[in-house]
Amino acid sequence: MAHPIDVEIVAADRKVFSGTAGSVTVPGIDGYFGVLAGHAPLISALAIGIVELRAHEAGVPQLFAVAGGFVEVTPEKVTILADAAEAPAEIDAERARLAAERAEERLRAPEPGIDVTRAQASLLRALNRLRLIGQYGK
Amino acid sequence: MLSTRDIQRKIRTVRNIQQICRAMKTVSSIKLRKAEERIRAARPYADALAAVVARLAGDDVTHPLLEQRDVRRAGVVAISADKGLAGSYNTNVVREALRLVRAQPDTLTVPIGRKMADTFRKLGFPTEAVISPVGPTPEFRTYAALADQIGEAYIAGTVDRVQLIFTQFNVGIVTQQLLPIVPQAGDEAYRDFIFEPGQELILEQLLPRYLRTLVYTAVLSAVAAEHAARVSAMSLATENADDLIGKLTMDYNKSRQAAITGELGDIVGAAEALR
Repeated sequence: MAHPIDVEIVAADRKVFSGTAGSVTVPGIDGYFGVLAGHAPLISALAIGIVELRAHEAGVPQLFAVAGGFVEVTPEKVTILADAAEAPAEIDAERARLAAERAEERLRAPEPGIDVTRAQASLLRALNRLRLIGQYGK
Repeated sequence: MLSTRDIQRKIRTVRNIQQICRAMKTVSSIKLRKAEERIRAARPYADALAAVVARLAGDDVTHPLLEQRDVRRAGVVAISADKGLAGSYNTNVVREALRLVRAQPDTLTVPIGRKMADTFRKLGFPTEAVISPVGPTPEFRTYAALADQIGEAYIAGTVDRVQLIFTQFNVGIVTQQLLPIVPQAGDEAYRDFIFEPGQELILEQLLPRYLRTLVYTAVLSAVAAEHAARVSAMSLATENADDLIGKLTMDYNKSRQAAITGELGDIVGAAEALR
């Protein structure tokens, strides 16, 4: 990890993070992948998951919960365009828990007219946020 | 001619109105600052997305949202404010929007903002969706859902072209084509890029999001322009009140002087008579 890489995480209505990192782990639509400086140019869709930034190999990672969007990788820069992105401090645990419960409720007894795919996505987003703040199994 | 007392009362009224105008100006300039902050906050995402779209469009790609069709039915999305007292802000954008809507028969409309929505309803234009009021803080989620709905209407063939008309902050009234999406030509295409999972699928995810940011950033810009218009309208009103107070004070002094002169004349006249 000789060279750091520029990282920018932006949500639709705000910039979440801008800085550099030694390595970046991103939840791609087909699984997590790592990016170092000099990576081949790539555009990937994002899944719901956690972005990890590390200053160096042994460093404590800086984490962000993201839900959907894209990542654009060039050799010098990683740009994460997320539908939603939050650092742990920005997550409202209570709200996430309520959202998870509501979605579970809907999925357990799906009434007609309920969008199952949407309820599932909502559940995954809520669980992802809870996992990030360590309030839901690792 | 008003009596001295009437003029005094009038001066007080003008002064009170002036104070209200000054307060509204202050409130609007605070709202303007917040609106500008929101524009700044939304810009990185919008810019980055536009750059990706521009570069992708450099390649030979097809997508229903890029498809050019003969215009059998046009769509117009028009943004105004909820409230007046913003100078000619609403009048101008409503007039231009009407021109655009009437340019094609049976145009499907999406009014955003109370003034626009009320006008369109009164004239009986068909609407696909209505957002009224805009409210003090536009939520991304609201306009994302609206953009999705407009995109679906386009793909379904309900409309063949959608234009967006709004007042852009620091620019003026802008008419912009929303659909089919016309990407600004990028400097470099993504020829060597790896696409995960494939270029077509990326485009399918990308274009609806691009549409959302187009609508959302337009609303943010229109809200900022509204507050800017109100600041200048209210500061003009405050100045006018100053002029009016000056004129009225002059009248007041004249009328007072006339009364004194009259009384003096009476006294002198009476004294002469008594002699």
